[in-house]
Amino acid sequence: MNNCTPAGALWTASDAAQRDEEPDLGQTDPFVYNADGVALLTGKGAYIADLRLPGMLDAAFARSPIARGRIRAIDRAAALAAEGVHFVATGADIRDAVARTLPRASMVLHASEHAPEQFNLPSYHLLPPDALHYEGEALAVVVAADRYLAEDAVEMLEIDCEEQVPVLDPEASLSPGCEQLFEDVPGNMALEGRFGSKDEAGSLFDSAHLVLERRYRMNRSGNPPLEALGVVAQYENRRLTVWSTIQRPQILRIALADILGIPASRVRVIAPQNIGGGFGWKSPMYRETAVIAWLAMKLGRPVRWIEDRTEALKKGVHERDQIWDMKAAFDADGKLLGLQSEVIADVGSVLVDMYGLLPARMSATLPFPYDIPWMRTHLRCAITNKAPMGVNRPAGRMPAVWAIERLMDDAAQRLNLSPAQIRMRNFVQKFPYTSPLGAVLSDSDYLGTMRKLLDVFQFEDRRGQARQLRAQGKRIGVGLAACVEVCRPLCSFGGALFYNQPQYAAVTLRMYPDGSVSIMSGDAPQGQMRHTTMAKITARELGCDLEAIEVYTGDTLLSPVTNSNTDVTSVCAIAARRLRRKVIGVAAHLLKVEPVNEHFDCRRGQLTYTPDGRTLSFREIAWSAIMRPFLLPDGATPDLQETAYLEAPYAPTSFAAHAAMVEVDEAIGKIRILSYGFVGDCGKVLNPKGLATAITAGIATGISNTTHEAYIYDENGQLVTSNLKDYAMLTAGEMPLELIIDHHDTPTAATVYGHKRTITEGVPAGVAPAIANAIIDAFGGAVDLTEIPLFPGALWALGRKAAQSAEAPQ
Amino acid sequence: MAETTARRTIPISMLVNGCRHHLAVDPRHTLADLLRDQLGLTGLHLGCEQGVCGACTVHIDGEPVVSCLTLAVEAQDVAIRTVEDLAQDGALSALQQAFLAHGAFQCGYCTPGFLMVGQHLLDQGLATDRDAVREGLSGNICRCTGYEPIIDAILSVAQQEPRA
Amino acid sequence: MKPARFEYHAPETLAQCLALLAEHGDESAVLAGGQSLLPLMRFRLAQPAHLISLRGLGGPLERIERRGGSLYIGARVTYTAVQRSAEVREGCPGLPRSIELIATPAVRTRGTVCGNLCQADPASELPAVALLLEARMHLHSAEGTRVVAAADFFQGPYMTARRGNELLVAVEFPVRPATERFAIREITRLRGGFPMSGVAVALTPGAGSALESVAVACFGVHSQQLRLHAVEQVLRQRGRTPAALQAAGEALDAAIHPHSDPFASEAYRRSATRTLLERVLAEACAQPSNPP
Repeated sequence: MNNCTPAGALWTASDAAQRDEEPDLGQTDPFVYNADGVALLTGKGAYIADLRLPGMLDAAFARSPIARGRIRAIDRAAALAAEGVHFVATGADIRDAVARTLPRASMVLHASEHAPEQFNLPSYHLLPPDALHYEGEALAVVVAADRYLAEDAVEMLEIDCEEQVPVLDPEASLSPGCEQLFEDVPGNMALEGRFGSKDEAGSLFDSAHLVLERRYRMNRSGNPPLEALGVVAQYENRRLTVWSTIQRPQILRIALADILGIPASRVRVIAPQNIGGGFGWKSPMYRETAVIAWLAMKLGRPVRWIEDRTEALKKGVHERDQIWDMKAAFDADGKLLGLQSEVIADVGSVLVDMYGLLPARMSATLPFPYDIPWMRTHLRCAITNKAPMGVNRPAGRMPAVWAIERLMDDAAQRLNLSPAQIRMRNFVQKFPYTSPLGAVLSDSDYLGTMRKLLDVFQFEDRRGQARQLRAQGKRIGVGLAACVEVCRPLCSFGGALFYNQPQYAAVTLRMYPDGSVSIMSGDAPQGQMRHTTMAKITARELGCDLEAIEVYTGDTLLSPVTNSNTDVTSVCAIAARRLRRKVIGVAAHLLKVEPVNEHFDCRRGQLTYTPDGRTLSFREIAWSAIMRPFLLPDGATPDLQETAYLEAPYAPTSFAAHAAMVEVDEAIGKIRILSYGFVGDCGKVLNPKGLATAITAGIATGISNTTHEAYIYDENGQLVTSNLKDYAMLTAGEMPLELIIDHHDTPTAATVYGHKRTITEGVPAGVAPAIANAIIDAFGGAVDLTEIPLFPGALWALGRKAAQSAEAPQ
Repeated sequence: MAETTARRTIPISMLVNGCRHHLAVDPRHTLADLLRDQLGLTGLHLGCEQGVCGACTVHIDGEPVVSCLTLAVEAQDVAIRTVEDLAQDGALSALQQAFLAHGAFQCGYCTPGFLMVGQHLLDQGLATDRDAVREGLSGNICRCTGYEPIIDAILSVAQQEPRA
Repeated sequence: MKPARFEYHAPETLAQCLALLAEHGDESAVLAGGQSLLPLMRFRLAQPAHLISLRGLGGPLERIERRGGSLYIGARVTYTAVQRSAEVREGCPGLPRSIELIATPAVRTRGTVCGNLCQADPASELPAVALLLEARMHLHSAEGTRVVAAADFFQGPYMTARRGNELLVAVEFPVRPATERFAIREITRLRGGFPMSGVAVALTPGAGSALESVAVACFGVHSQQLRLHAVEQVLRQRGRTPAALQAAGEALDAAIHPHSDPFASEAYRRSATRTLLERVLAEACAQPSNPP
């Protein structure tokens, strides 16, 4: 049972009304809304870097050249004297001005005192006055007339540092005797959690037919978007306005208010109408954002910071980077009886907020689609001298899914089972199912989804074909993976106890005297077509004219408090249905009839009383209610608006089955993905075109994280992959030659339409093991592939090792 | 702060979306920054500033270039075309319409670059098959679509229209 | 990632350009297409005090000319122009085929062949092709002109024989015999990225597995591009028999000294380059003739 619904019903039975007519969200004209559509095609998008304010100045940050050390002195004389420079600030200046240390300065940044796990978040200042913790950490800021001049002045800063040997290996970091990197993080362990079965394993492992002990590793990688960060801050008449590419404007507002010591009522955060991708990477409150806000207050002029690509890669946030040591007990039929996992996450250094711990925590508590009677996971988050970790889609899931899906294949190989057989044998079949980790799986059909994938991908046929081709000397293989996706991870599994942030969705609908409607959402979309979705849902459920809707997102002044990644679709539907009842109430009074819902039909801004056919326009109704309330019964309030909050009654879970057919060119270590199959449980497909696109993108990200993207540090803690040539992202020519995408849906009762919103978020997690399992199959099982990303040299080395061993390809 | 000294600027003249502009440019300013900051053509976007992501692609004399690796001062006497010029008389181009129809964009940040490169492929008759389009798009990165809908959109136009 | 300040010059004649180079020499950088130079300037790895632009220089600098038995590619000629030139496709098909591998279509619109050669990035294709096809560099200065063979022009990583006061006015590629075949292969992490290993070959097959003539060059696996004479000798003497290929591979291995980096180990580069050698030889021999 969901233990995080606050008192007061956020979900009532009457909200889940009949679902007769499907809201048209994509069959015709998928891009109704300009912010989602035509503007983006004609170069009229409004992104952060497009914002111009009179008198605006540009900031550039000086960044630490070393991974670990101390600042001895910063001489700013030359920089201050440089052309166009208005101001220079260092950590020492800010520490004097903003004495609060983070993250404790704001509860929204800090983990809750109710958290069941042991955690220690490092304290830090907005700019380091003294100790430096990773290469690329901002340590001073220059404000100048334009970015060119600001960068010139940054070069003129004379920064004297004392260098120390960095700690770069997470296991070394956690070992006793390692130097402590932060005063308040003993043992360099930011978080320790033990999850799972309360009772002991007993003789489970001793008596098992097969015990596998394996280490799986997913190195540092992520899903950074194409647009980096941007902030514009303005302080006027006691009011601070901050435009920011933040996925959680309401949270940022509270954090800034706390840090800068001004009331939240005087802070307004606005996420631009268009954000060039987020993927979680734009969720944290980065220190730079607060520094820019502080500068605007100090200088009395608008200050802007537009991050460049090198900064974005160095500053973080990074993700994945976990080591999973698994000990698994199987019976002779392949049933997984028990699983013990030791997880070490390398969370980097100055965690921008407790979101730095979220990926690891989610990984450790992620339910697998398998019925595992006994399961324990021990998680430790290690601090190192690298960029901080933070959520990157699919937050936290990739290393966990990498580990379990590789484990299943490794076990299948040893037990002489097919990859499909072992999974089918272990899938959860009865729902709801509570995993030993506390997660609840619901409303799903894993067997059915996997069967459909095996069918549409013709998996067994291809498996046979691959075997035959291997006999002829080709290196072709097929592989499978399965993964659960959780839609409200923050709420589930006691997560609400950990984070000091609300998990609910919220939206305000307001009708104006002319019957037009504005939708005000605290959400800050970054390309999920939310504007269109909200407009269409509202038009459908409220019955107003689609053309008369305006959607406002990301503005804390207009919207109720909410978090990001919430079920905007459902909360919009609920608010619209409630507003519709209000509209009907007014109309019924004007028509002198009873307000029986079923007697009224609302569409395109017209209301019809079906028993006798009388009509009223929304304009007439709204005008009466707002401008002439004397027409209404005593005590009626002259407004037609509705704010709805939604916390799902339980966290819906979705699921996807993946398959890959891969050809390996072992002599040079490159692969070609001949075919990729995906069958997902979407609950209910609302926007087929948008869904297909998002799934394709998820597959692309998954492939990119398997073979291309990696944050690599050298032995001095310098980020080698600090530009887009070295941090390589997948291009069009590297997509699978064939894509087979289908769905097998089980609606969830936890959303208004039964949709499982984040089916698309989790896609990348299944891709890596599907491809890896296919590569291993291509070698007839003779390679030991446990670590990704997998560059050509590494794949070549694996192949060489296999060739040198006795096993011949099947 | 030192007084802003009069920097040496170079006068240049260029045609942008059919309009002639006479400008005084700082020689180190890139064409990308000039178009965005001085001419307000913010359709092109900066994703990497090293010519890898293609989000800043514009046409110079009908050919695609990455404007982040072009100095503004080098654009003397050229004809530049940006994404703002693709729609004519308020009507979307065939390619823009195809992007709508095929769901070929989400966040839109890379989209202007893909439209300029895609339009060029179509103009040159290079969008012959899927592989040819993939090759043509090798200099454009997208994080939101997985490329396939973009390729669909470009091919759909190539197959509709007779070759230029 | 904005470039630092520089003094910008746009000479209108070659003589003016050479005078500027004479005056500013090593403190200057020549701006042709800028596709190598601008990224370096953006990362502030290069901060030339003077930038001498070739944009005002016309004439032979912006042309591809066939004269005598050679193709002359002027300093301002772009990758795309070479790809589209019927003369080059006919007279030196290896060049456009190699250019196809470079960067991205938009970068090829502005980047220049001469600029690539002067950059002398050890991982680049064109210096290897220049060595292979025995190109000659035409260098002009205020003091006069000289011609430097490719073999003498490339002197190390990012180092060429070009003096600070010289301009590479044109690169000369001898027209190839019609019987010659060309193949080039490389391994990159992403399409258009810098190669981790690359081999190019120009050969004329003989009877059976014999080779009448063969030239081999590699890139990305040594401190500079190499013409692999020892490999050529083996192949010329013994043809393309399995034993000869084995010996050729060993000669290749002995000639190169690849580096290890986080993306590829030395061992991988060695092995992969031998594989590429076999593949380009096979590909070249399988070609019917020079494609138009």
